[in-house]
Amino acid sequence: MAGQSSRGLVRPFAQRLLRADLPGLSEQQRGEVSDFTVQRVDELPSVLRIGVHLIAAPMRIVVASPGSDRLILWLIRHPLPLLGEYVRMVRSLAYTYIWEQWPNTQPDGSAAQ
Amino acid sequence: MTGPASTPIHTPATEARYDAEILIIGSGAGGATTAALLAEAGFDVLVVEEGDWVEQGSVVSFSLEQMDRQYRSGGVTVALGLPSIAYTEGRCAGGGTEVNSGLYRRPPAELLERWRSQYHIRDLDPDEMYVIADEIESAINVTTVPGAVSAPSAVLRRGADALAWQNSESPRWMTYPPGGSASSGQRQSMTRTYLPRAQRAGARLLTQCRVRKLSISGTSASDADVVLADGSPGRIHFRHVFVCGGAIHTPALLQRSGLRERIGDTLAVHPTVKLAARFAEPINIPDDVPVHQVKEFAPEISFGGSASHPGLVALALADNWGEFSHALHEWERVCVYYAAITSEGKGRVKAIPGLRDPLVTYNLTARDKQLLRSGLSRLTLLMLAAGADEVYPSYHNAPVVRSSADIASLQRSFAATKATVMTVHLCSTVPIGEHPRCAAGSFGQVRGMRNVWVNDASMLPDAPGVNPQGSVMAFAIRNAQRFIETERPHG
Repeated sequence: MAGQSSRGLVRPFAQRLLRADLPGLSEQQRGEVSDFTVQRVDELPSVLRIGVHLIAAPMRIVVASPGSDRLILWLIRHPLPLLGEYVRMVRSLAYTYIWEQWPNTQPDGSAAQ
Repeated sequence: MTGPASTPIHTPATEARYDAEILIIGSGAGGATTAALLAEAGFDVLVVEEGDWVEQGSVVSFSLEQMDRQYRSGGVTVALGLPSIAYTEGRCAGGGTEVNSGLYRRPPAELLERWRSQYHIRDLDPDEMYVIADEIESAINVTTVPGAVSAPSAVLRRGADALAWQNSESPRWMTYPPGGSASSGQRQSMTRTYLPRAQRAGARLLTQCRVRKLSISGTSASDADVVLADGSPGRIHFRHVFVCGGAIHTPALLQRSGLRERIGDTLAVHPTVKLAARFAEPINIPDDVPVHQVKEFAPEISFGGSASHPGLVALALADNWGEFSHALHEWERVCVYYAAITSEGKGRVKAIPGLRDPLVTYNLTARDKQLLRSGLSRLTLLMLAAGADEVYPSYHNAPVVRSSADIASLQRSFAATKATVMTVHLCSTVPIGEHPRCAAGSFGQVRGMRNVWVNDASMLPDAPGVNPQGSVMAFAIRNAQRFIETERPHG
C-alpha cells in the first residue's frame, strides 16, 4: 500500500469535502486543488501515507455510495479520532493551496468580486 | 582527496563510490558548523545532504513552493498521538536554517547548568559556551532589526506592554543593507556562512544523497550505503562519521544501522497552539515573522508570531470555518500568533524495517494540555490588549473572542485533542551526557561506538525552552573542538 498512488483513494473525498465547504469554487479549481492534495499525500512519510490510505479506503467507499451526502457532511464536521485527522489534513492542504494561489477568493470559494 | 578551492560548493551525488576521512550526514546547523571546523583543522571532510541546494531568494519564504523544494515531505509531517502534532523539517542544503524564522537565543545559563547536572555532561562550562556563542553570533551576524519593527511584531510588544508582561525583540541572524528596514534582511543561514567556510577549507558537499544505513562491525562503522541523485545505490567509505540529520532522521538512521539502545526514545518538542487575530488596520507581512517574543510565563509558555500569508491565515481559520471565514475578506488585517509550551511529554522515533521513513509518536501529558489551554487563553488576552477586534483560536468549534469576557468560553470549550497542535522545534532523540539514560557521551560519541558521532538537535538533552538553533550550534562547535583536540587528520 505504501507504493500505491493516493489519487484513487483521496481525490474523490477531497472533491466532496471542497464541494461541501466551498460551494463557490469552480469545477476547474476544485480539480486543481484536489490534485495538489493528492500530490502532497503521495509525498507523505511512508508510515503516515499507509495510515492515510487505511482511512481513505473506507471513506472512498462511503463517498461512492449513493445517498451518502448527509453522512459525509456529518463526518467532515465532527472531529472524530483518526478520521478527524484525515479530514483536517485534506482541508488544511486544500485551504492553504487555494488562498495562496488565489488570495482574494471569497470564504465560500467563489472568485473575488 | 580534498577538492580544490575552485570546485563548486555543491554537486549532486553521482559516483558509485566516495571516500572521506570524515563523513558528515546533513548540512544544517549541526552539520555545517562541524564541517567548517573540521575542514579548517585539516581533516578531509565530505558532507552529504539529502535535499538540494536552493539559492536564497529563489523561492518566497513560507510559500508552498518553498515547502516543495526545501521541506521534507512538502512540509506535511506528523508525530502521531492524541492529539497528533504536525511538525516541519528542512530538507535542503543548510537544513532548517534555510527555512526557519531566523530568531536567535543563546542557551540560557540556568539551562546549561541544569543539563550539566541532570545529564552529567562532562566539562560543560557556561563561560566556554558563551565564548563559542560570541563566535557564532559574529559569524552569522546576530542583530536586531534596523529602525522600527514590523507591524505584527509591534502587536506583541503593544499587548505585552499593556499587560505589563515581559517581552523583548529576539535578535536574528541577518544582514541589512545600509538604511534598510525590518523586512529587508538577508538571512545568514548555513549556505551563506558555515558551508562556504567549510568549502574554502576544502570540504566537499554532495547534494541529493540519502544515506540508507551505516555498515557497522563491532564498535566501528566503515561505510555508508547511500542513494544517489539518480536513485542508484552508492557507497561512501569513511574513518569517522558525524550524523547530523536532525532529531527525526538521525535516530532513524542509527536504528536502521543496528544501533537502538536508548536511541529515539526521548523525542522532545515545543508544542504550539495558535490563533488568528484581526486588527483595525492592515498589519499582515506575508513572507516574514514577528521578531518580538513574550516571555512573561517562560520557560513554561512563550508567545510569538507566525508567518501569515493568506494561505496560512486560511489554515488558521479552518477549525471553525463557518464562524471564522469572514475574516479572510480582509486578510491584510489578520495575523497568526502562537503559544509555545515546554512539554513534559515524550515522543519516540522508530525505524520500521522495509519502510523509508520512521514512525514518529508524541504523547502530551495532562500538564502539557493544561499549559496549552492556559497559553491559548493568555495569548488571546494579549491580542485583545494589543487592540484586536476579533480573535479566532485554532481548535474545532472555537468561539470568536471579542472581549476578555469571551475568554471564559474559550477556556471551557478548549481541548488539546480538538486543536491544531504544531511544532518546529524537535530535539533530544540521541541525548548526550554520562547519565545512563543518555544515548551518546558528553561530546556526542554514540555509546559503544568508536567512530560514530551525533552533532545536531538530537543531542540536546531535552527541549531548551528557547529557539534551539543557538544551542545546537554552540554544542556542535564545542563537540567539534573536542574532536579536533583528540583526533589527528590523516595524511
